[in-house]
Amino acid sequence: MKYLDLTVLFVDSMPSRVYMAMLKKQGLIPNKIIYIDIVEPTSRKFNLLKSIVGGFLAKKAYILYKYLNVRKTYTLGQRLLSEFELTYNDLNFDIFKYPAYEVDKVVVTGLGDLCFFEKILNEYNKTFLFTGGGILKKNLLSIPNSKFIHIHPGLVPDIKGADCFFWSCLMKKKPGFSVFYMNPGIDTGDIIYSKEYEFQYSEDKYGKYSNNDIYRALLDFYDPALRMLTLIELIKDSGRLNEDIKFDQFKSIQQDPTDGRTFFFMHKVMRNYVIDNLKVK
Amino acid sequence: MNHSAYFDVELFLSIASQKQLKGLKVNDKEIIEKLCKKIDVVKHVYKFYSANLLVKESGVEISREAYLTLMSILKHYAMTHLDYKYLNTCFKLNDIIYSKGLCDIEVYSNNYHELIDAF
Repeated sequence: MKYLDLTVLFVDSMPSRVYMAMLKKQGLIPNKIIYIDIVEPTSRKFNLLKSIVGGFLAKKAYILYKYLNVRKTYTLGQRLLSEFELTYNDLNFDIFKYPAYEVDKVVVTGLGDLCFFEKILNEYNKTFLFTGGGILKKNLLSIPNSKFIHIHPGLVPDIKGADCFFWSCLMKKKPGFSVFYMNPGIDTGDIIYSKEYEFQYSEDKYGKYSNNDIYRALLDFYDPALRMLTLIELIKDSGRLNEDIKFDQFKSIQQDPTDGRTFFFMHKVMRNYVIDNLKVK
Repeated sequence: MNHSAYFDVELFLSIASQKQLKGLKVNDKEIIEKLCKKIDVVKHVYKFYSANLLVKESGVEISREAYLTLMSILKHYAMTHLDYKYLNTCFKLNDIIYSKGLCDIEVYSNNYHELIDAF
């Protein structure tokens, strides 16, 4: 086991679990994990549902919805995970028993919560890996000496924004990933590393699924596994896989925030076009 | 209201639609890029914004004609340059225009098929 001089900000989700499973499989253990327990989802859909049926029922419905979504693509998820020698069992861990030096918890209403800010402000280790979706607030990103690493599914500056796994497949014909230090801009932070991968969706290998299910499964399993693989490749390429890893030793390249383009969520028609083109003919 | 301090979207669109055949200037494209963000993220385009287009300065949306002009400009650019980002915005804008009742099903359907044919 090699220790990463890193504090993982863990928001419990399928992609975050894939992140942790990939690290563990490689024998890379973060010094610390902060489990960010977000009291309830902050999405617009959830808030609408909450206003209609109340908080309790909305939360139950949300959990059921997530469970059904995963169940629908269970086999596909398993097959995609197997590409990285992972199984569902690897994702089924208790974060408090994960082999880090320390696992801590903070209960918050959202990433803008003052409790979260204070928690980060008082952390000894100042390099963080953010595993969740959502945007970190400016005040957090400007805590002196703190660095927040993000692994983005696109080669920046060319591919910034949302749905970038699919934008990369469309614009570059292959998925690409960038490791960078977050700043208040959208994916404009200093680049530490980037890498592209080959991917095609073979129905013989993964099975026949609707494009919607493929989209979901790629985002839940394949994309986060490739993100973490990119971080592992960064460590491997630096020749430091056999020693404890200090992230402040990695050099970064400043981006010009005006370079490249920022993409937004794909319309379903575009998404279907991209997924159809990923399929082996 | 001091209009010179604001960005007038309808005025810009009417000028841009006349220019589009000759080609849009760099500055026009930057503005269109910002208007794309309004469509993609906010789903509404308002009549006035601050000069840098970051803050809306009016709660009133642009007119039906302006929405259709915006669609026409974006569609033209997306299709002639096979610009996937603008094409994506066009699909969303078509949905928005239809859902706001600003066009009938025939216009929506024609736009949709034109955009599909661009691939």
